Amino acid sequence: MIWLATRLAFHNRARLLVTLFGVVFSAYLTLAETALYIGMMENATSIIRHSGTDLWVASKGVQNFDFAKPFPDERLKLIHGRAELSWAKPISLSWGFLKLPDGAQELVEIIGYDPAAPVGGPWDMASGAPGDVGGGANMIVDESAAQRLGKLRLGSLWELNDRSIKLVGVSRSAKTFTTAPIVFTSYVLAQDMTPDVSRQAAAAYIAIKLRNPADVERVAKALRHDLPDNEILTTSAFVERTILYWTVQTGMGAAFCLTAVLGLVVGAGTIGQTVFANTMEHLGEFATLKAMGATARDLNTIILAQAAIDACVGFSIAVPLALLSKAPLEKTGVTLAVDLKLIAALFCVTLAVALAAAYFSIRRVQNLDPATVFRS
Amino acid sequence: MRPMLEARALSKHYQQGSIAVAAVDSVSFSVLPGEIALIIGPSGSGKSTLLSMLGCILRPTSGAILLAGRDVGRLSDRELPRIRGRCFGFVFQSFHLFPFLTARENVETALRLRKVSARVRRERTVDLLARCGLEDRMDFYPASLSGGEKQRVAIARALVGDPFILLADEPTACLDSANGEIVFEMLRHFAQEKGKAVVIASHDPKARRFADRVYSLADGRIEVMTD
Ligand SMILES: Nc1ncnc2c1ncn2[C@@H]1O[C@H](COP(=O)(O)OP(=O)(O)O)[C@@H](O)[C@H]1O
Ligand SMILES: [Mg+2]
Repeated sequence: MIWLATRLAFHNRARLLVTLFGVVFSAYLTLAETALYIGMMENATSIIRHSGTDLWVASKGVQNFDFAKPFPDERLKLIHGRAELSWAKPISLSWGFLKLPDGAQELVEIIGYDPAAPVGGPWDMASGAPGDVGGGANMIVDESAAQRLGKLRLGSLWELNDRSIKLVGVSRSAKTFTTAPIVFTSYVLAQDMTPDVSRQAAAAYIAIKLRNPADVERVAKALRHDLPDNEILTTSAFVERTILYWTVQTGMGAAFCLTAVLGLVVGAGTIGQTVFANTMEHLGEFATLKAMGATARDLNTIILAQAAIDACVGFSIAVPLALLSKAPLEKTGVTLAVDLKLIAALFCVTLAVALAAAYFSIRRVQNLDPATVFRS
Repeated sequence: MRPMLEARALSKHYQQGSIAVAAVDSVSFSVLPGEIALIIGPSGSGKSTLLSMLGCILRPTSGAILLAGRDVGRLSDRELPRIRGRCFGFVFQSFHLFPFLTARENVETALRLRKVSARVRRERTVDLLARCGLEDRMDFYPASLSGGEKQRVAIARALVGDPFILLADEPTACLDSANGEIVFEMLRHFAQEKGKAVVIASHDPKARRFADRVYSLADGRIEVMTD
């Protein structure tokens, strides 16, 4: 009966084309919105996820990685003696202005880490090594920033917060939610460059690696006791909190969700309407099939298969479109996280929605009186 | 010989406003294997209603239908399609071919509904269409077939599944007299050659020459004219 559905779906070419246009559009919308959202969440949490740490010491009430409130890094001493810790390293986070060759200033996010044990530093290098930021005024910039900053030539001299600084490496895929370029420097240099020099050295976070990661909950509890003015988060809890902040607090989640769902609704509407139009146009044929002995299952298959054909063809055009638009879109600074898992998941959702949209057609044909074939 | 299909005191009432209209009123009827039964009657006399009840498409208000002696009134809505597909072939006044399928595919659909294998489907379809004089029309869509050709395709579609009974509702009403003759000839051939039962509802005077028994229907009431 799928064969019959195919013939029915492809019989009216103009209608099929109009339908596919709508389905491709809506599937693309859903796919792109979801991929953009996932991309943003990946960027917002990339440094946390790639740090290789088990626990994070942050200031109380921290909401997300980028909005850190610094605290004195002397508190590091309070936990240094603990036997469970493999290491504990401070990470700083501040904002600065990088002067471009044309004199313009670009806002950047400066992350300072210990070059000797590069925790919180870059994890994937296009050139140079994470340790290269040590021993002076050096920085590593992410290659995704080239769009804003221009050519990133190793050894070139730049001006960061009015200080001369040398580019010693280029990292890959280190981005933030804000899309501001990330500049990695040594922790010491970052402290030095902090505009408010009167303050004592301030860490944004202390990243902790445990000897035995299974201990994480127990150690977290002990650290909460040692550092009552800080918040102790496991890496996964910090990731969750950051995602929750951007998704809920900013209303961004709702906006993306609405667009993605609207895409699905438009797709479902288009398919439902087309299948219904096809059904109404061919009611006589459905009555004939009923008279000829087609079972309810045969008829449902014909209708559902039409919806599935529309969804499959539309979706399989939308996917290459999404992949093609990935590079141009990402040039604007956003990340389109399309992968096989997302495509498979959204395909299932699209298919389910399309099948549900065929409901009215199924009802119509189920209630169709086959005796109408005898009326001329 | 036991009738292939038999109706006993069959009635169908329709409510039209406040009055009940008896489209078919206590009709008794039978047809034997190898026989053509003709039902004649003016428009509105209840021929189509009777045929759709005989074909298990419409449930009667009262009375019984016996298919090879078995009362089909007891069958559930789930079983009826299967019985229709296996036992009956239908031919309609306005053909009811699938416009989006070629002649061959139209005929094959009847076999697809019975889950017949592709090879057998193809063999039987091509063979039957050739015997209906349509060997060079197999890949034509209904829109490019003449009325006579369309009805021959429809007959092939009704016969390809080898049903026990063929029900034809005014099969020649849309055809000229030469094509009408061909259609009746095909139906007679099917009845005699294969020993199948054929029921034709028609007001075409030519039909009487081909019929073994003739019933006349008027205002839903039946009368046997020749036996
Ligand atoms: N579904 C229906 N609802 C109400 N009345 C019907 C319906 N089907 C048929 N009738 C009535 O039953 C009578 C017989 O109709 P029909 O069987 O189509 O006659 P014929 O085929 O001989 O022209 C007509 O008066 C028609 O109006
Ligand atoms: Mg009629």
